[in-house]
Amino acid sequence: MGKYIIKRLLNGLIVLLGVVTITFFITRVVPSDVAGKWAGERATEEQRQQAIAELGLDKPLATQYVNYLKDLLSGDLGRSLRTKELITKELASYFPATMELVLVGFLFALFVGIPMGIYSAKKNGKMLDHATRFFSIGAVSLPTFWVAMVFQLVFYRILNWLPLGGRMSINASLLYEIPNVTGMLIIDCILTGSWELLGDAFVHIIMPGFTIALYPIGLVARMTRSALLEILNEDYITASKSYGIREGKVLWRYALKNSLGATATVVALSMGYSLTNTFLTETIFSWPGLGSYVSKSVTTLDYPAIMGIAIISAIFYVILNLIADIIIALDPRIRL
Amino acid sequence: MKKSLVLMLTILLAASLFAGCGQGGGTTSDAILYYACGSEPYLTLDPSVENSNGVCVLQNVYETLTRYNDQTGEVEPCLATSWTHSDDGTVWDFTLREDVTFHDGTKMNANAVKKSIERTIGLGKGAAYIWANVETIEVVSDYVVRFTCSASTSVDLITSAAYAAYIMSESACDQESDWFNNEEGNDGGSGPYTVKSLVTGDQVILSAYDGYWQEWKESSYKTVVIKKHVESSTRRQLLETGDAQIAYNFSTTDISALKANEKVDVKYVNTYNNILLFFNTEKEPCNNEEFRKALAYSFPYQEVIDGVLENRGQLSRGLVTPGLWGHDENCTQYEFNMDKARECLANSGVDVSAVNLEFAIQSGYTEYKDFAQLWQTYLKELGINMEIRERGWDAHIEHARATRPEDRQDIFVMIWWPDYADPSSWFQSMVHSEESPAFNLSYIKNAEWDAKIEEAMQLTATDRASAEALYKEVQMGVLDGAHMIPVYDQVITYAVSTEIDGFYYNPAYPNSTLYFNITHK
Repeated sequence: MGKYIIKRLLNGLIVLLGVVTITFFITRVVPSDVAGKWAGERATEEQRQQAIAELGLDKPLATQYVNYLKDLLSGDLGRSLRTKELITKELASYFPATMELVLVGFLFALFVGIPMGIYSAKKNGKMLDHATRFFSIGAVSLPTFWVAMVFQLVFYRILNWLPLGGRMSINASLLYEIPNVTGMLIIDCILTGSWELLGDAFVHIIMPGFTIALYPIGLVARMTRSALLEILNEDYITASKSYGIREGKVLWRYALKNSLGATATVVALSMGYSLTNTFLTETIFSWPGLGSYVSKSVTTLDYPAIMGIAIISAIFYVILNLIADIIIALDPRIRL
Repeated sequence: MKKSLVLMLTILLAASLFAGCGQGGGTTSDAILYYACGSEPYLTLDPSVENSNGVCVLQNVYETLTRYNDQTGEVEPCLATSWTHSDDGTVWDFTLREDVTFHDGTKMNANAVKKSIERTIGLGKGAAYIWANVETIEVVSDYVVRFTCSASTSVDLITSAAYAAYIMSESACDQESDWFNNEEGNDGGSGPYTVKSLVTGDQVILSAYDGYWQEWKESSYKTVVIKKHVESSTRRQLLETGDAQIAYNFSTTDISALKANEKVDVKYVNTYNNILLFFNTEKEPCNNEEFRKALAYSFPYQEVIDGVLENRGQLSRGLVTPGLWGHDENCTQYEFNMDKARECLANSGVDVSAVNLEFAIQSGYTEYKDFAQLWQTYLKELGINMEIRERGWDAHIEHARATRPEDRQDIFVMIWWPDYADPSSWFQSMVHSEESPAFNLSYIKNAEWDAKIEEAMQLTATDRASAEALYKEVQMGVLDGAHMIPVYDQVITYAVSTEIDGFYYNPAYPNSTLYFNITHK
């Protein structure tokens, strides 16, 4: 197992290098007024020259690439052309926010999706099965922004049960000190014991979390259902039942474990995908995450930021893929 | 074991949910002014560098020597009480207030002013070029500062700018840009509010500065929150529930809903922004004046304002927007008139069957696409074929700046606004001839106009009336020849809660309002 992980990590590094190189050269080929972005659209010629020197643009492309790699190794992702802020600082602010949202979303998805899939498989062909299948298809097909807006309208505007958006209320941010350990509020609150802030943060994450969870719920439910259906027809399940083992135990302890492999891969991959695709949900719930940062960077061709985002996404895809593979490898039937 | 852990965590979360809901910790005693911003509240909070939305924060945390009064067109005292200049307009002395302190307690004086402006010029970013003519800044005495310029310059106008003209404490001047963007909230201003905390690119919380040189009222807001809410519907809901008091830029449906709401006042405010069409005067057929006029008469100005913009625009009159000196109510302006368009087209002698115009627009702005398509149908009636090409800003501007005129577009659209309350912005950038195109995207090369523009810029400080007359002459010439035409002046929609008083939008200070003047009823 250890050798396997190391091999995969090395592969991951190669993937990362490929991502960095390709993004680097593509962003510099596309027409872009870099000096103008740094110095300002209406900058004087002098200011532009100063900008070019500051950004090292007067050096040959190959030198710029090597310098970029050198900086990368020391953890310096450069500065955003648009905000002039350190990209590491911006990512450190936006990434945990999105990560938290995606994690909570996927936790919801697992807690709701797996039981749904299981009962659907158990009551195959009956009303419950049809109902949950209808729900899963709906969850996967309904447009995220529409669902988000409807939630907001119903739970904030009409019922006023939940807050409109944001990560915490203004009152809370004024009254309490906000802990910052991982950047993920809920985890930080638990770690530092700030219970009132935890409640506030949790209440704020419910709607956006559930919106993010919709697609994976549908996905997990359907995958769990189909994997289970296949397994429930196997001989060893019939054998276990005939030995008198309780139905529940058969389902949860034996069948489910075997079905987790495929589901785990799909969940891991869709988590990686979600990390850079939370834009719509974040926009509607004013969640300060990666979504708008990615879209703004891409539309303004802020290439250091684009590269920073590409790198961090690639890293996470690699890690998530590795986790998925390890989960699958837990199945002794699979030989590494 | 695992199950009980999950159970415990769930119970813990549920319990804290009730704690959060009940808001047992209490609320702050002062009312909070909540400004729902349609985009990031700032790019950087470094007052020497910021050239974007951040002014909505900076205008309240920092101050400038003077301020432009959009109603009178006059420059008024702010941190400076009075100023004089030499006869030739090159040397300016500003006398400063003696009762102003920065948020760190130090006094605002000539040293601070000198250091602040020199820092801005030295960093050379954002709108620092407005100081291009300033050669030296001297401290004449504790509260008198002298600007010496290379040519006659209206320094009082420059010091009233919304960007690059802020005065900060000497210790703030020593800081790097990153210090201003620290989430703990750092600032070196003298204004009524201090930056209490930030969430990078998302939220700014301001809190009142008790040592401000103007008197606080009982009903002033001591805390102001500016937060990013990109969706128009989100901003609308915040206003409807009363959670927000100010917001701007709404979609059509949201505006109608807000207008019908008694708790909200909808305002259509004028700006100094206008949308301009540039004709490529160096390429056929737009090098033909009569042809350009035909194009100008075929544009459906009013229909665009009513249909496409839904009143988020008003008919232009001249290059300089109303409310700014240099605006000419009598300037030539084309109205939508297909008969005149046909007449001009006939006079031009251009063979329309051979014409295929490229209209370059910037992508991401639905109104450009919408009015381009509308115009296209009218041009079709004249037999003129026009193709709309959308590009991202970088490609859009690069195309317009191509080396050979034949490689560039025929018609270009761009929004413009002045860096400070001076019409020279339009003329110097877009009418004055250029070796290689920057923003003069009609590629105008008229030596007579160049001379008049340069003279007007010289005269602004010493003889504003003559400068204005010169600008009006050039403006008339440009419009008469239809080199470029303004198609509408931008109007923004603001929605303000009826619970507050004192909201005012001064177009010289884009996207911002002075929170100090706002009181709650």
